[in-house]
Amino acid sequence: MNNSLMILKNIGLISEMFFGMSLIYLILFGSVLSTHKKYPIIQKTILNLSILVLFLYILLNLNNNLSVTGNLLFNFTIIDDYLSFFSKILITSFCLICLLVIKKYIKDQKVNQFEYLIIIMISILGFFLLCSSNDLITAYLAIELQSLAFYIMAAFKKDSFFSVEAGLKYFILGSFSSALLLFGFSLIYGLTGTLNLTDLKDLFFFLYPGIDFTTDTSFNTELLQIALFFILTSLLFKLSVAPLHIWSPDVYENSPTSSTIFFAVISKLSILVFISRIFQFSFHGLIYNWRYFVLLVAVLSVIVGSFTAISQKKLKSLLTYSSISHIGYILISFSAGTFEGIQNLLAYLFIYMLAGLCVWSIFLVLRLKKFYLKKQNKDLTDMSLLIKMNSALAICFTIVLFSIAGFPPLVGFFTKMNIFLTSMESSMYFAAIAAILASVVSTFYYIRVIKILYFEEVIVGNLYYPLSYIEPFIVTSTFFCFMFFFIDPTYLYIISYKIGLLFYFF
Amino acid sequence: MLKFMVFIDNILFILLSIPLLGSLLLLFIPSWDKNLLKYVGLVTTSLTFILSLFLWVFFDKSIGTFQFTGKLFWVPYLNLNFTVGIDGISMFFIILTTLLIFICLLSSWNSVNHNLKEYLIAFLVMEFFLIGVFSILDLLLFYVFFESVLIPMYLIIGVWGSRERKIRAGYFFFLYTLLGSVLMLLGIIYIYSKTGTTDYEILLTTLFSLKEQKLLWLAFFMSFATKVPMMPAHIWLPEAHVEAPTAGSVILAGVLLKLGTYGLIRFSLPLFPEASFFFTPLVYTIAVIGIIYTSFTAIRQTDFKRIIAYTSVAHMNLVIVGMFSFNCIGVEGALLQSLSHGFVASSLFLIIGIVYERHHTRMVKYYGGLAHVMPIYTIYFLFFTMANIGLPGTGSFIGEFLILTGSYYLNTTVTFFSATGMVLGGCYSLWLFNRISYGNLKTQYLTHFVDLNYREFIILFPLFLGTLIMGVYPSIFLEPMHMSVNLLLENMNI
Amino acid sequence: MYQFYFENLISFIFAGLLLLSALFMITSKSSVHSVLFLVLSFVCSSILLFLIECEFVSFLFLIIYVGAIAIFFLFVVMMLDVKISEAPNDYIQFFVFGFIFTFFFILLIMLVSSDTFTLNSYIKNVIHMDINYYSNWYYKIDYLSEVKSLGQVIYTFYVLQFLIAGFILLLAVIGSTSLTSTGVYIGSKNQTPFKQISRNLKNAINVF
Repeated sequence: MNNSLMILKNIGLISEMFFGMSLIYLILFGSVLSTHKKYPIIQKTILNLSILVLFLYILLNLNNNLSVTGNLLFNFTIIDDYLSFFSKILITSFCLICLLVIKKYIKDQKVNQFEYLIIIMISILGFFLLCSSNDLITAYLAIELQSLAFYIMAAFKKDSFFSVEAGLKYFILGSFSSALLLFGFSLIYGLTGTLNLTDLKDLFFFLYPGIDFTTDTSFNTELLQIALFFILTSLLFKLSVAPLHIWSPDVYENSPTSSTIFFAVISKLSILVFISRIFQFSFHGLIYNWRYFVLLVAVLSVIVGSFTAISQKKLKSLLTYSSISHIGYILISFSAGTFEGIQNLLAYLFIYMLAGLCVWSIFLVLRLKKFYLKKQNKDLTDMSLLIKMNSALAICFTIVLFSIAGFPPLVGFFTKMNIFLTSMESSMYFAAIAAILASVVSTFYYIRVIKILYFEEVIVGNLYYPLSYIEPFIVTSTFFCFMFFFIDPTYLYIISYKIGLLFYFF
Repeated sequence: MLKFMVFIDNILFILLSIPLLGSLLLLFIPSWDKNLLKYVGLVTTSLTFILSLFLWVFFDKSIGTFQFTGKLFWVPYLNLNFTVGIDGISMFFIILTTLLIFICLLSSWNSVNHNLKEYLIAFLVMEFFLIGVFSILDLLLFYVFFESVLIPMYLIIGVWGSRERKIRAGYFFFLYTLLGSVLMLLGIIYIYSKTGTTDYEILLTTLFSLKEQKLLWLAFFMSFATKVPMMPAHIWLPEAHVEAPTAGSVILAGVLLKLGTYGLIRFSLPLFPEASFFFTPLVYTIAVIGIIYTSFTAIRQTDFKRIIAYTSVAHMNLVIVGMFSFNCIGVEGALLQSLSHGFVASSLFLIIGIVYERHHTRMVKYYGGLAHVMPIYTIYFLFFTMANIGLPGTGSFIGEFLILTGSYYLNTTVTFFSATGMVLGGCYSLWLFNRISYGNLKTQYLTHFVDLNYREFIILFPLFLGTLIMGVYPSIFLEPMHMSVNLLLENMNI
Repeated sequence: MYQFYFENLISFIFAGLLLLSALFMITSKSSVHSVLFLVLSFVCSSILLFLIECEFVSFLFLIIYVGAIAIFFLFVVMMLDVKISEAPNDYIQFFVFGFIFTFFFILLIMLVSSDTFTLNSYIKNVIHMDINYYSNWYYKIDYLSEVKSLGQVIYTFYVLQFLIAGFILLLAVIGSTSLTSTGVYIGSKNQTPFKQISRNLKNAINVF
């Protein structure tokens, strides 16, 4: 580990600097061009340029010389190891696909300001900084950058009451949780005098599970536990787990779907990476202080997500509640605190993001023909008899839904099974039984969607616009990646194994 | 010669891949060319059936361990491999499966008109899963295939079913079975976390403590009991049967019910012997209540299919009584009874399907005096009704006799009550047959009667022949089972 | 007990002024007076912070709280045009509940904090003081104020965080303009709600 501010041979964060500079160029270009004589609409141009910037970012990042232990840069506040590399590549590639998919949607919904894409790119920059932060202040700044961009993205459709309401709700509740986060950080600084994650790990290395606090009175951890609770509450709030989940169906439902695809698919990864870094890496010695809290929240959110979704009539709310229950499963394996816990967290997260991408892109590319022009939030019955209208899309949707439900021969089953394996190995039996029974309940509403697609009682289904060239390509390529992991899940395990080693290397 | 031996050694993989290749081939045939679709499906299933007969021919009756074994590496990280092998217990189930799917495709020749391609693909995929269930020797993959059977069956009941309550029946079927099975998944995960492997041949050599055995046995029992079906989780079966199309009912009664008993004998008995012995009183009680209660319920029904569905429940509970008797006679009787039930119940559903295709009603009160106008049909119906009761000369008698003899060793009260189930069986079966075949023709309801045509005769004939041979000379079926069943019972250490 | 030293007189004065202005802010009937008392309480807390040698935070208070947030409040008060507010008659019950709630919250934090921080026992025995107070003689010669030391660190070691903060401000500018302004398109026929609302009787109707 070498601390380098700026060594010309190894300039840290060069890909993020490139990203920031190209964003500024894009802003200049966009604002100069869009106020030109005829006020042209430059959405498509900026979108294509953003895709180019993301692609070049991947290329720059791939040429990173990664060492096994990771480099600490910028006065020990930025860490550059395999976990940050992996999560950045993942975020970039998924954002690329998301941007391709929302092209038609933006044009249809007449979101004509180019700033929308700039704000999306700035939020992606926030993700990158969060994934590679080794310091609490950097993490807070990155979380603020990303969240602020999300608030604006949620409120972007100015002529829709729903969108403005969603943005306002998200802004107020998100700022409140950021305030709680900052309070937790300040308590940690007050107690330990450092904000650096590696320093915190060094401070608490003598605390191991099983140490007897009654005889060893050198360090009193109660205020530290309160600090950890504040941080955990705030971060779980941003992840929308129960009982802090009430804002998410409103916000996800009412904001434009092109923003929701970013909220639902991509925002969870970086926050979970950061939570893993704080709790598994720095405060692993204090595991008995935060473990049961996370487990309780996780089981509660699985149960809430499964039961509440039964009564939903809109597809977006259904997908929101299903994502709440998925984050619950992830947190069950996270609370085990073992090596397999982190490994299964990453594997499940990857499959969840891939399946989410598939489902949301299918949701985006279907555009109804018969309603008044703007309504695109689909009820469940708007997809009746999709098997007749567009049978390839219906089959893709069915298979991905079966995998989200965790149903046997698909890859979602194996990742879910691994989560239960982790909880069994850590002897959390009741949590496993409760979660698995709730997963049976959740299977019901997935099957109901399949029933609507296949054998609804109507005579004809709804009419949709035909798809253009690029959209089926994206849907089928994500579907292919999905099936690939069923044929050979070894890649998933090996990559998550290598990342999990980082938390236990020192 | 060498190539032929290589072919025989890998026959299970070939058997598994032929239905998949057939369904892949079907994908490329356009859906308006119905004849070509049907012929391709027929050729595929008949090829599978003939190849499965090879299993019987080349089976070695003198050893009790697994034959035709093979291993495909899938996920070495999880120690999860595709191990296949059969012994005397599973061989006949595979042959039953392939025969019944062939008969199913033949029976739905004229009755399925819409979405024929997806129908055939669903059946072929289900055949793949079913052969997989009976031949896989890995616990987790067994569970995967066990559950995957639900998906095509749900689609078949939902899309090609016959009445308005089919969606509700589909939900019942799916969710009941799934709820029981997730507890089995937890048990498998527990086993995997303690032993590090789910390979069946390795697990046969592990010992679990009594407490672990009891909990794991209960978890596995939840799943198998719903599939058998035992009281009180039997409610899905009549619903599913009356809503499913004819071919769906045939495969449901013929093979899917056997999954539960196969799972019990393959996994519960050898892996958890002390717990099986501990829970035998519970199992016996539930099974006997099931036999008597469902037989009584069957007397009151007015729907033809529902009566046969309830008899299926009664017969499968009798199989459970035989299986938990822990001696060779009882277990072999249980296996033979499941085989013969596969033949008899499927043929009874086919018989129902024949008249349903003609008159589109299943209510018993509309039928009467069919012996006057459909004599060949009545002969088949009489034979299979007698087989259902357990008349000597049919396979069911051998099965029931062996079961009752075997369970007499263990517990005479249970034998007494199960035998009364046979009497009740005679009661409703004979009454059903009487009402439908004899008496006067009910011309105020139905006027136009056509006897069996050639295709329907052909689909009933193998089942007729099988039941007859099983009743007259059962050694053909019992001999391959001897060594495997003896090996299983000896290793149970009771 | 916290004893009365002469050095603490100024902090007593301004702390008392802070409490008074906060009390007047919530009990005054006119909203403009409330905002002005708010400004006063911010200024007092800024001076208190100055006294404990945190100059940077006191400047921050003045710039951010008075310069941005209190101005924001003034704008809202101006736009809503609320002159006198009527207090509800039973407002005492809110005080009771708020008091209990705050009391327990502060009690909890204080109980936990008092176990965590202990007094410097050396000072207690030698100089008879009850507070952790020590004087650093180097400060009399060579004092680096807080603003200077923060500047020396932020622009060198933590420059990346500084740039990220700059990005957040850029995002705020872009976001707020894109959310609120509809742009000026020459020749487009659209309504401006501001002009429509700001009509009043005097210049709307011409009576000859």
